[in-house]
Amino acid sequence: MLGIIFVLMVVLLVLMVPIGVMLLCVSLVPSIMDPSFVASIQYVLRNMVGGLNSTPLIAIPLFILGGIIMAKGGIAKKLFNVFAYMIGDRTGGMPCATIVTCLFYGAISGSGPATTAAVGTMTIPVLDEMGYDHAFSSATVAVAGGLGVIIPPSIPFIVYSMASGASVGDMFLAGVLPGCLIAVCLMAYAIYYCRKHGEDKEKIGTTVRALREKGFWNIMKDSFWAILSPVFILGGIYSGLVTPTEAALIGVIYSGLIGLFVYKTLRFGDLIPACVETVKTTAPMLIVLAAASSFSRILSLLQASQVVSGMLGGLLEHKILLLLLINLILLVLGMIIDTSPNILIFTPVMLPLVQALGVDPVHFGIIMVVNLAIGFVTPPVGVNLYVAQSVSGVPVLKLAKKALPYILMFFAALILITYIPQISLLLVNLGK
Amino acid sequence: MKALKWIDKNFEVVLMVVTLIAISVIMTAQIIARRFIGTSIAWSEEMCRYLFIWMGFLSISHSVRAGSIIKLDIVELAMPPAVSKVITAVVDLAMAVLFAYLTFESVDIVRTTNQRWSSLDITMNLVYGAIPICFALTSVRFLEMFVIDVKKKAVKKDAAAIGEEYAAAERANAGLPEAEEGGEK
Repeated sequence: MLGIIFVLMVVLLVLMVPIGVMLLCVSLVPSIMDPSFVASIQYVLRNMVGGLNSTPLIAIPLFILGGIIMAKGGIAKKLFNVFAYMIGDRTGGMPCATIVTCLFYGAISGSGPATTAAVGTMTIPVLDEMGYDHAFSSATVAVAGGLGVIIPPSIPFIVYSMASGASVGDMFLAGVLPGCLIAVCLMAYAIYYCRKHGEDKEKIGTTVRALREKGFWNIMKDSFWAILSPVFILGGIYSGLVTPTEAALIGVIYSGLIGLFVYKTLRFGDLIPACVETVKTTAPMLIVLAAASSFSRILSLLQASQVVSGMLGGLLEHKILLLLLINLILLVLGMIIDTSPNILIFTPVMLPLVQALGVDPVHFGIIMVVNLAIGFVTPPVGVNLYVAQSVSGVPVLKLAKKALPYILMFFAALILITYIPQISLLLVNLGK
Repeated sequence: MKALKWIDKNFEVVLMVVTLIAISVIMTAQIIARRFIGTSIAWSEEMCRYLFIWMGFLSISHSVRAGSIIKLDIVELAMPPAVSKVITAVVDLAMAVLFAYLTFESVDIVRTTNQRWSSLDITMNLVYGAIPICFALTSVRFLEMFVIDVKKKAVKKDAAAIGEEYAAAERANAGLPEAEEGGEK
C-alpha cells in the first residue's frame, strides 16, 4: 500500500497536480482499494477540517498581515541606517550591516523572500553607491534573506509545530541562537571578501560621517518603534501574557498604530489592500495544511515510519550518519519543493526516526527549517534568488555563483546546529 | 461584463478578507475583555477557528483560479510546451470531476452530523458546510481553468518566467513597485 501511495505521489507531482490536491488524492487511495479500511473518504474530509481547526495556525495570516503593514513604513532603510551607523566603517562593515538588517527584518516579517525583497530594494542601491560589486551585494541579500524564516516569528516554525506537536513558543525561542549563528557565519565571509577585494574607504567614510552627524538618537528614533515590534511580540509570548496567536494579532495592531500615527506612512485606506495581500499570500498554503493533516493520519494508520525505519535497517544505530543523510535529503527536497509542503509531508515520516535516537522534536524542527532555508538560495527553485534577481537585475545563475561561498557558510552553520543540539535548545531549557 | 470579471477574480478574496477581519476583530475584543474588563467571550476562540476553516476551504478555489496553488512547476521546464499544455488541460478536467465527486461525498457528512458547537448552541453544519460548498466551487474553478488552459497558446516557459511569477508576488507583498527592466539580463 505504501509503495503504491509513494509511486502515485511522484506521478501526480510530475503531472503538476497541485501538491495539496495530490495529498488529498493519495489519502483517498487506501479506502478506495480496501473499503473496510478505517480511513473512509468522509474520514479524510473530516480530517481536512480538523487540520485547520487549530488556533496556532490562525497566527500565520496574522503574522503575514503584520509584516505587510510594517513594510509599508520603509522599515528596512531605517534599520540599515542604525547598523551602518554602528559598524559601517569597519572592514566589511556595510555588507555586515546589510546582513544584520536582514536578521532584524526577519523578526518583523517572518518570511524569507519578503525579507530579501524589502531589504534588497533599500540596501543594494546604497551598497552600489559605495562601490561594492553589484552581484556581491545582491547575493548577500539573497542569502541573508533566508534568515527571515529562522528568526522568530517564523511561519515555517508554526507549520512545523502543527506537523510535530512541538509548541510554537518553544520553536520561536529555539530559532534565536541558530539565526544569530548563521548571521555570524555569513558576516565572516563578507569580511573575508572585503579584505580580499578591498573597499572604497573614502565613500564609506562619507556615508558613515553623514549618518553620524545626524546623531545616534535621531537615527535610532526612526527605527526604534519598528525594532520594538518583535520585542513586544516575543516578550508577550515568553512572559506567558499572550499566546503566539494573540501576539501575532497584537503585532498587527501595533504596526497599524505605528504606521498610522507615528511614521504616518500608512493611511486607513491602505488597510484593506493589506488584508487582500495577506489572504492572497496565505491562500496557497492553506489547502496543503488541510490535506497534509489527513495525509499524516493515513501515514500513521499505515505505520509508515516503522516501514521506513525497517528499510533503513542498521543505519538507525548511527545517529551522526542518519542526521547527515536526512540533511542531504532535505537539502535536495528544499531545492525543488516549497517549504511548507516539505515540512508537512516529511515531518511525520522523519521525526519518529530521529526521536528514537534521542533527538528533540524542537531541535529537529530547527534542522529542518535551516535546511529548507538553504533551499531558498539554490537553483532551480530558489525563491530568494529570483526575488533578488528581480530587485537587482543580476541573472539567477550569476547570483548563485556569487552566493556559493555564502551557501557553504550557511551549510557549515547547519552542520554545527545539527550536531550541537544546545545551540537550539539552550534558550528553550533556560526558559523552562 | 466588467462586474462579472471582477467577481470572477475576487469572489473568494472578498469572503476570505471578511473572515480575516472578523477573526481580527473578535480576537481583539477577546483580549480587551480578558485583560482590561476581566470577563471573557466564551465563544471567541471557537468562532475564530471555524472562520479560519472557512478561509482555508475558500482558499482552494481561489488559488486554483489565481494559479497560485503550489505545484511542482519546474517539471514544466523539462517538457515540450505542447505536452505540458495537454497534461495541464487533462489534469484540470480530472480535478473538476474529482472535486464534483467529493462534493457529493461531503454532502453526506453534513446530512449525518448532529454535533453542536461546544460554546454555542449552533449546528456544526455551519462548519462542515464549508466542504461541499467550497469543493463545488473548486470543481467549477477547475472547469474554468480547463477552458482557459485549452484556449491558451502553448508557450515555452523558462526558469526566469517561473521565478518572475514568484518575485512579482513577493514584491507586491512587500509593497514595492514593479521592478525595472534592464540590468544585466
